[in-house]
Amino acid sequence: MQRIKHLLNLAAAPACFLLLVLIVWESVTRLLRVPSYLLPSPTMIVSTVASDFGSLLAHTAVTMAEAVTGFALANVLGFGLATLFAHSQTAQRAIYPYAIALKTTPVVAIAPLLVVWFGTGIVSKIIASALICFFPILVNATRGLRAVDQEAVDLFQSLAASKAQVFAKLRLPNSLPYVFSALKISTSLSVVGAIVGEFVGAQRGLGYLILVSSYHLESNVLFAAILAAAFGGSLFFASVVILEQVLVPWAAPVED
Amino acid sequence: MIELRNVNKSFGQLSVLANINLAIQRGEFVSIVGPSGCGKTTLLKIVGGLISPSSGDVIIDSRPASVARAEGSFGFVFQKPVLLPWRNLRQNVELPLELLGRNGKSGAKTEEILRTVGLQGFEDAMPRELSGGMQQRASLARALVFSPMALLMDEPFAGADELLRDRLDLDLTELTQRLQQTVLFVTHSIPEAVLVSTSVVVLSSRPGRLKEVIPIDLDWPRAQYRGSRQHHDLVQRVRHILET
Repeated sequence: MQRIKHLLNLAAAPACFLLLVLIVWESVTRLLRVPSYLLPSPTMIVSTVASDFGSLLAHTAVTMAEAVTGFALANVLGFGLATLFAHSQTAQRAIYPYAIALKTTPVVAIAPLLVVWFGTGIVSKIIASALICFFPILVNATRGLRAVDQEAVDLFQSLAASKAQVFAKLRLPNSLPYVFSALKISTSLSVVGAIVGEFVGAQRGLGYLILVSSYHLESNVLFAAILAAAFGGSLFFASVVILEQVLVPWAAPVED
Repeated sequence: MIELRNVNKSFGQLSVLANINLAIQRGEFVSIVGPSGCGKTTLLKIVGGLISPSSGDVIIDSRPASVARAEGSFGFVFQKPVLLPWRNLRQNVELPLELLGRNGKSGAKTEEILRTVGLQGFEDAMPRELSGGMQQRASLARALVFSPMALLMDEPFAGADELLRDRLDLDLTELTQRLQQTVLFVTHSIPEAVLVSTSVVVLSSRPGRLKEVIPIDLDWPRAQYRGSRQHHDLVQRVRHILET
């Protein structure tokens, strides 16, 4: 009960602020008779969401499936490479410059190439999403796997621990807070990657919906798609936060 | 028995230890004192088989130090408690048993050792829920749980305030006397070294050479000697050797 009260208190201020913004927005569009293709009113957007809910949900599901798959792919590969880096400076020196080059190349520049190579289906979007998520996990996991207290390493060595034991019982758990920082950053990036991929060539997904509705000046649909993307990304972020609280409770700040 | 014969250690051009000869019998509590950078920690790590000497031999009960380490002969206690934050107290204390493949008899042994260091009832507590003193006791319990041949302690109470340090020193001596545990103890504090040890090894400044081994012939328990004339005289003697 106390916890619910605390959560309600936390939510009260942002909820009031949102309500204020919506009232001002609704009033401005009505009083100034703003054309809906320029700025649809909140009630119009809500009505679009309600009427097109099925279609919106289907497009969101496609985009989120691409984003989550790309996210998973990037994190598995990124963590694998980080493990290699943590054990071999030579491997890091050989590969890291290319990882940085990949990071500094905008995914929007690579996306057309991905469509040429992998077609307009889901694969090119998954890869666009994976490319954008790859760097945060690579950097953070490498750091987390390496950032082990030297005395802890000495302790393990004094107990004749094998390399596998040092990895499983020391480096891996030590890296988890760093890994989850990367995962949280990547949740929103993965949705961006999927939508950018859809902009270039797709028949479904929120990127496709945003592009088509902008061509037709259906700003109410465009806003509904943006809302869906924000909602999907937030839900994804919240899921990772909950997973972090379950798996890494020891890294949470100590409550007074 | 721990025996060092003509041990030298250099890191590149830098000579850290020179011609160390030392023998430590079972059940002895030997403190190492010396100026900063004289190689005290290096000496401890050489005994524990964590680093190899550049020349000379370290023999632990007729075996090389590296072999003794692989057999789980040393319980290290560091300046920081080095508790793994994702493991509760029991899991931290039992870590050596897991790594050495001795999990079979862990339960009763853990209970016993936690009782010995005064941490019974805190088995499920996470490290961050423990005070600094409790964390250091936990690291001592972890070093003792697998009954090592020797405890190797590197300024274990340096981070504690003076009152806590005094308490931990006396608890440690009471415990090691009761267990007849061999201890090699690195410290910066001469009064602490005199209070807890059966002998004090004095090293010179870098490269660390063995200046003198001073036997501490005080009775147990040692609490009675804190602030006493005998303690003061021994401290002055060690200080004089260090300064000359």
